Formats: sequence, structure tokens, C-alpha cells
Amino acid sequence: MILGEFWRGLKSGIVELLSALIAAGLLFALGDSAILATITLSSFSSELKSESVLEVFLIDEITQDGIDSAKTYISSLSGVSNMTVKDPEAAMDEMSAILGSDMTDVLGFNPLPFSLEVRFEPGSCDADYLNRISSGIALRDEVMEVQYASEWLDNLEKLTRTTYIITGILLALVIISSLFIFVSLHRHISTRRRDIVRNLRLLGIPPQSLIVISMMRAIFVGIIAGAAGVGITILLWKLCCNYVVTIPFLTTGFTVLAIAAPVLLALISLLISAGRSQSNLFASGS
Amino acid sequence: MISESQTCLEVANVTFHYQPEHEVFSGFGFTLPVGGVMVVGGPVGSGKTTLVRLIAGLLKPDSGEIKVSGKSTSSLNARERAWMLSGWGMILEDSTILNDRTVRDNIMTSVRLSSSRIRPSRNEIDSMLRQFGLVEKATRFPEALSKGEQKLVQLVMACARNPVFLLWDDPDSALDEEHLDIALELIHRKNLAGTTLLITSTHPEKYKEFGGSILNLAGVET
Repeated sequence: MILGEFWRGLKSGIVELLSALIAAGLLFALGDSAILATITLSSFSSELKSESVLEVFLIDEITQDGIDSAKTYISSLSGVSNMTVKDPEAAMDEMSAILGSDMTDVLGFNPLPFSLEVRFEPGSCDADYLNRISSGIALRDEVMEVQYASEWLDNLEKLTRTTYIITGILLALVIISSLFIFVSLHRHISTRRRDIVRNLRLLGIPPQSLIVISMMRAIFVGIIAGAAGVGITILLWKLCCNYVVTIPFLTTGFTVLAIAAPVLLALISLLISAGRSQSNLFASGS
Repeated sequence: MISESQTCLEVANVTFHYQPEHEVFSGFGFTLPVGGVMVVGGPVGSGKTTLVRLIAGLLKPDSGEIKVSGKSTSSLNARERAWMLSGWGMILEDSTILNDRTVRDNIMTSVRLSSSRIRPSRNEIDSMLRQFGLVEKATRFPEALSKGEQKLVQLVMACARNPVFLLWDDPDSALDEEHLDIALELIHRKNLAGTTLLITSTHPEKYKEFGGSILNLAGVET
């Protein structure tokens, strides 16, 4: 009985139902893609940040005690994963390998100081943090200069933040638009079936059965729209990046959430539409 | 649940108006015993359909009470009201047919929603439809039927669910004499089996053979 009425309700506005599902599916695909792109960028950004290296150049007259003191201080900083001491000879070898000639032949001496190469744990630092700790390290007596790719990291940070904001705005628009689509669909079906529901009530259908039928319809619409969103997202990613074999972060958990969220929105929209259109038959006399 | 009582329907001191200057009922009332028959007569505009709509719960009285089996309908919650209606059969002026399904599905839906434990078989339903020449139209949708045929489908929907109370608003409005006679015989049989009847008509004298009371909304009770 309930299944039959549920199915009849869907069939009663099949064109509107399909239109709503396509529109909502495209919206959810947009939202899913934006989230996946943001997660990918965010992950890429934290990976790059974790690979950030802080180069601490020590003063020329540094002693072993000075090196140890600087190492102890830097080790105590949060997020530091490892640190290597580079002596002037090793630094010169590295530079010669890059430049293709030995600078000591030209200068007659090795101008490079002792330095510390500091690496961080993944996700433990951002541009602000690096800026803060590099300033702190630079104030120490045994330190001459601290270098890191600050401008590049700042830009990466700005790009990530901007992406978060754009994704947030996009998601808000997706939520508002999908609510509008779902509310319109519920209202349309309710209006179209007003006489049927009135007559079913006169035949004595229990009110809870009508609620269950409406909820089943909302859940069905949410599941199909959410699944369509995930399907379209996969299709879009495959079309846009045909070299991508697997879409990063499109896990089972993400898929479940990408379907559960539209179901929730469809249920909320049912509440919104019920507030106005499903007035009590007996109270209103409609 | 509705308590047992010897009175099936009691309309007590009901007042109702659509507009302040147009009062349809003022302190109106009657009682209808279980298994009884009440024919409500009166000219067009006297309030017959309004009375039916008040009893069906489609309208609310301004004051007074409508009691079913001793319980005021205004005190029923939605669930209790649905339970009450599941035991009724109603043929109203506004069609109670479900337009999204065939004639047979309409009758099956009506039977499934009935609180009666006695469910007619498909053959019994076909037999009822056959009486009215509708069995060949059982797989048609209501829109393919005439007004009179739709009225007959409503009647079969109402009778097939073995109602304790049958409410028929203006039987002679859409039916020819031949079909009306068959229909009246069918509801008479239902009445003899224990169904309480309330019929409205502009020609209440037609229903004298039912043996119930006639209430004239113009003010004369016989």
C-alpha cells in the first residue's frame, strides 16, 4: 500500500521529477568536484609545506658548542622532524655541483658558513608558523641568517585560503539552490496530488502513512540526486583529466557523504514545503 | 478508538456559517441510531451538502458538536479520525475517486484502507461492478468514465468496504432511474446487514421505502 502510493506519487510528476534530479545532480556534481579539488589542493599544499626546508646559516666564528646550542634550540620547536648540520666543505661541494665549477679556485677560500637544514613533519607548519620561528631563530647569537621560500609559501597559503572561500561560497549556493529545487518538487507533487491525498484521507489512510510516503519520496530523490552528482563528478574528472586513473580522495566515505548530504537536504526541504502546502485537511476544510 | 454506543451519529446544536450574513445552521441537531436511516431533504441551497461536509470533517462547525458513536469528532486526533473514516463509506458531491488509478485499483484501495475485517473477493467486486455495467470498464481510468459512471464507482468503492456508516450526498443528481434503483437496492441490502445510512436529496420522498426518518432542512421533520 505505502510502496504503491510512493510510486504513484513519483509517477504523478515524472517530467518535473526527472528535471529536478538532473538539475540537482549537476549542482551536487559541482559541489563534489569543488570539494575534491579543494581537498586535492589542500593535500598538495600541505605536502609541499612539509617539504619546506629552513636553512639556518650560522656565524663564521661558530664553535661546536654554538652549533650544539642552536641544534638544541631548534629541536625543541614544535613540528621539527629532523635537522642536518652541513659543514662549509659539504655546502661548497653542493654549490660547485650546481654551478659546475669550484668557487674556492676563484676566491682562494671557502666563504660558506656552517648551516643547519631543518625539515618539518607533514601538516605541522604553515607560512605563518615558518615566519614566526625563523624570526625567533634569527635572533639567536649563533645564527647569522635564516632562509626559506617565504614568498612562495605565502602565495601557496593565499591560494589555498582563496580556494576554501570559493568552495565555501559554491557549497552555500549548491545547498540553497538544491533546497529550492527540492522544495519546488515537493510542492509540485503535493499540489498535483492534493485531491488524491484528500480522497485517501477520506478513505481513512492513517496520517503516519502519508508522512512515511513523503519521507520515502524525499529519501529516494536525495539518493538519486546524490548518486547522480557522484556519477557526473567521476565523468567530469575522467573527461577533464583523462590521464587520471583514479580520482584522488573519491573514497567510499566521501561517496557515502556525497549521497547522505542530498538526502538530508531533501528531508529538510520536505519539512519546509510541508510547513506551507500540507495544511491539515480537517482543520482547513480544503 | 471510538466507544460503542447505540447512537451512530449525533449532530448537537450545530451552528455554521460561510459568511457572517449567511448562516446555514443555527442550533441544528438530530440523532441517527446504529443501523438506522436518515434522509435529509430540502431544496437547493438549504445546506444538505454543507451538513455532509460537516459530518465528513471537511468543514468545522462554528459551535455545537458532531458525535460519532458517542465521541465528539472535534476531540479526535488525526489518527483517530482516520480510523473513524476507515469504517465509513462516502459518496460525496465532490468526487472521492482517485484519478491516478484504474476503477478496479480504486475499489481495491478503498477496501485495503477499510477497517472492516470482511474483505470482498475480486469476484464479489466484479459482481458489484457487473450490476452497473462497469465490469468491462474496470481497467479504465476514471477520466474515461461519465459523471454517472464515476458516481457508481464511488458507490462500489463505498459498499465494497462494508462500512458501518454510509453517507451519500444527493444520489439522484447524476444517475438515471435504472441505475439509481440498482444502487438503492444495494445500499438497502447494506442497511439490512447493519450499515447506518444518511442520504441527502432534493426529493426525500423517493427514499420512503427505506423506512427511516426524513429530516427536511426547510424545517419540517416527519
